[in-house]
Amino acid sequence: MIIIPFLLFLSLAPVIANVFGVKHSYRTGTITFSVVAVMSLYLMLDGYMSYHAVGQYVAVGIDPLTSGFLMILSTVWALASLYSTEYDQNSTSNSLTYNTAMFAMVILLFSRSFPVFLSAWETMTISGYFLIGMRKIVGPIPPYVFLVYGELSTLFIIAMGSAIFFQTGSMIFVHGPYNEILLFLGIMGFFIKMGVMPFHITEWLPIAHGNATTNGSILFSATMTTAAVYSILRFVLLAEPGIFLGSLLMGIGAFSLLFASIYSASSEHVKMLPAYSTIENGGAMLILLGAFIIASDSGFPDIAAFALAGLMVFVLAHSLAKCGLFMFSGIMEKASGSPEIKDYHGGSNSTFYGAGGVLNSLSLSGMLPLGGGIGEWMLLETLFILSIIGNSPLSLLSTVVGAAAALGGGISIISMTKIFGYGSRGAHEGKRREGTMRTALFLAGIMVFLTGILSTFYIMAINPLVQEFTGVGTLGVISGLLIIPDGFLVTSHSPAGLFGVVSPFFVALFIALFSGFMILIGRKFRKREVSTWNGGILEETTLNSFAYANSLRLTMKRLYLTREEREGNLYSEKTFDAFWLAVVFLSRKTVEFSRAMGRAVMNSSLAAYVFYIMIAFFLVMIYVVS
Amino acid sequence: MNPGDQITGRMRSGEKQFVLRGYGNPLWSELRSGEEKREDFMICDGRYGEISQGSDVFNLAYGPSTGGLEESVRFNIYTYGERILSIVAEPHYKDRRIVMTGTDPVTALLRIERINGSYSPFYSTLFLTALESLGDAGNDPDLGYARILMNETARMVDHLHVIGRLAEGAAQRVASHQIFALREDLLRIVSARFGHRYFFGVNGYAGLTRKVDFKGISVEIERVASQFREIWLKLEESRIFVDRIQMTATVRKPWLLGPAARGAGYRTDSRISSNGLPYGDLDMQIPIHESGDSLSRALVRKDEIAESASIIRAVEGLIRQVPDAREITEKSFEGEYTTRTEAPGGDAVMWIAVAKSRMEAFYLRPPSIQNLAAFCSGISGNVLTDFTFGFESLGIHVSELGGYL
Repeated sequence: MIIIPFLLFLSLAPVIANVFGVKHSYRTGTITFSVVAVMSLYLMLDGYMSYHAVGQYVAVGIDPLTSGFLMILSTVWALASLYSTEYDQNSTSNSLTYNTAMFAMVILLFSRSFPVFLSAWETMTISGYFLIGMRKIVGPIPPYVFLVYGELSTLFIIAMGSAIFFQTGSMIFVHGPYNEILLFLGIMGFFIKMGVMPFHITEWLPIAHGNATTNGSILFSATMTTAAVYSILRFVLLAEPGIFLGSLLMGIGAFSLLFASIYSASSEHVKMLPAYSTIENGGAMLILLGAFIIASDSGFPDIAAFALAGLMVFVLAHSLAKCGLFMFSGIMEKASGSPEIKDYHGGSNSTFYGAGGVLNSLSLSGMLPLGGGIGEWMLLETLFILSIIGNSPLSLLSTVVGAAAALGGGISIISMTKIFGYGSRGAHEGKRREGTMRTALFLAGIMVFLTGILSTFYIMAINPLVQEFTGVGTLGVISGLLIIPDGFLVTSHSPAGLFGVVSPFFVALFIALFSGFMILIGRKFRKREVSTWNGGILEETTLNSFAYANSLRLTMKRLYLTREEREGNLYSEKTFDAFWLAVVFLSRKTVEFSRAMGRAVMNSSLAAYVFYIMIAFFLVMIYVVS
Repeated sequence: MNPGDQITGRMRSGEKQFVLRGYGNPLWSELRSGEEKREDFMICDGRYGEISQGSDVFNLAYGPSTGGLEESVRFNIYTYGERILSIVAEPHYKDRRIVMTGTDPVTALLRIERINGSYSPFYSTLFLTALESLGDAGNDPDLGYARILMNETARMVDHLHVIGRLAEGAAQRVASHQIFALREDLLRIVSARFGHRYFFGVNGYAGLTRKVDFKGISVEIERVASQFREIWLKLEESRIFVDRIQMTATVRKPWLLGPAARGAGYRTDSRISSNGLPYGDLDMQIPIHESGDSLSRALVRKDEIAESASIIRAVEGLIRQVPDAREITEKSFEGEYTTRTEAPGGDAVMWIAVAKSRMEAFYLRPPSIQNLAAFCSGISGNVLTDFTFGFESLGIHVSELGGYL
């Protein structure tokens, strides 16, 4: 009974602590969200469920899905708050909006009615707007872009909510089935928060996330997108959609994943690059979500359970690693004072900094045995299995989506090696402490590492969650084989039997054993430094980050709209987001049309204005009644 | 103004190369045939290429000591990744200056032969032709044919080397090694017949210094040419080879020389425009290709290997008795003379000034000057991987870009 109020109080505590100072609020956040993370882990393992409704409009609840996501988000918030204690020491407005946004997301997870959900969603959006807008170095456009797209997402959700209200007669979340088109309308709202197609192509998310403070970017990229995934999952589980929506999600996910990875690789902005990576991860999560829906609807609960487990692994790995990557880029940005990767000469020589950076970026590259690698493996396994279960259109879709996912995953290596490589080449001059920031980054990396090697236990831990929605749970996914004991092997199953296996713990063990052996025979664990051989000359050529990804800009010049400009011997190469240009074009045309209409129809004509109001009112009435 | 004065002045000031620009230059008519006068005649003054700048542009240094280059040359590649915006070559990284002034003609000949071993018969012929003119040694046709035979054989050797390097750069290692093996066969034929694989010491004043058996040499050379044809047919079937060299390092400048010019559609060849050697007695074809890219230049060289074999066959039949070389020290030389020839890389011009049988001034304009400039021009706009194809297709010899004192 008191679990939800207690968790809400813990989440509200950092907001209240803001009264005592910025540092206190972040310290409080670190402690309280650590407690929330541990509690929610316990609640998930316990399969704890609770529901409270007040009247017809207010309802909150907790179930394994809520506690599973709360555990992930609160872990990230605890790390981000620890990082913020050093990152942001004097901006009360930033800490207030930051803590408010987190509290709003907690309410979102607990919400079981549209009014509560929308209030939380809107609070989260407005807090995000202030997180960007109150930054002095940011111009008016990024916060405005964030607000516009945030409100657009709210509109979509309102549209879905009102449609469901008219279908079910309740503002409280009730089980469907819902009309798939209406459900998709609402999901579009969540797509906006994730920045996925068709909204990723409008570049709004990188603009907004890239211009926030680092702790703000962590909130946006690592947790708001996760909250959007949670929301989709919540409504999908209520609505019980079919193959149509599942296929749509898979297609949109594949498109988003591929294009975001391409734009991420070419990005030269230290925060936009991870922001594009967020869209890419969002795409991967949508694919798994779509696969889960298709497998559920097609009568393959084992595959559905595997896909849902894969989704939860991906969500955890993405949230932690993205949190870590933004911390890494934040340290780089502070060190160099520039948002351009090409200006970096490394953020720090610290081992914590390097280890944290490499673990997080490798996970986001999809490398085993890290969490991102396990998630990507489960994604591809799901698609492989779906492609052979006998349904031709589904096989074709799975194959195409799988190809896009694999290609996007490959391209993500470019972006991750770029940001890590250029961010870890040494340290900028000057004395800086940044001890706490580096510690938080290192902790994020360690968690990503543990998420990977202990993913079998995490998959077992989410058994109640998966059991609730698929009826089969995840225990069948975990087993042992030959020398690998039970509980250390992730297995995938097709209807014909065992399909694939991977043991992240043993992958890590073998790497450690071989590395240890090499250190043993080399006797010393030492760092060797050799001077660069550069054609026999002393000068050193530096391959800048722009050049690192320029082969992509040239080979995909139709996509990037790569344009070379030359004035004498002065060269510059520019790329453009084709979709963003399309949005700008449409916006301009809309403004021109509106002005023309305004001049032609409502040119100080009261009669025309009244007529317009009546028509608008009439159309709204038609929508409401229908 | 005496054209030589300008050169002499520059040579004496120790400059590595001289610049000859514009129609107004009196040396123009000496150095270029009428057809080639259409535009500004460009020779670099120790600088090749242009520097590029820009916000993301950086200088990617390649060479002077790297596995991809046979000789010591440094390239500053201006790029913002993948695409070469422009390139600046520094061939004088290992600065070589050959002292010619003040030497006697015998010593000068020894040094000239070693400027570029691959072009040894061409440069020794240029020098000896100039000396023979100054010494009124006459113009023996058999000696002319023998020199043509030597030059055409050396041309084949160089063309095989260039195509072999090109094939190697385009990852055709089997073909590359086979072509290098053919080149070695040819060098051994030369060594057996002429006493030295690079013709060192055989070319003499008004004759040859060794007794050379020319009989049957064309058969041996034709065998090499025939084997090369077979390899080339296989190379042409390789899409990898063709795709890599086609449309790369395209250059179509009017100042191009040799295979670079003929590969760009210009019908220019000093063998027909110069009266140094009796090429006019032969029915000689000049291969022309139009594209101006690395493939076109390779095709020109391929055709020229066959054409050289044909010329060798023709001159072998014409040679009756090649005179023995006379002692240079017998004569006293005075004056200056300009000669030219078509080396494998293109038109080569030599100007010498002799006073009291001592070299007073020496100038050699080797084709590699223009070929290096052509490379810098043509490779701009290409991607980094095209560098090798462009460079190797032009057959540049960095050794001959040194200066002379």
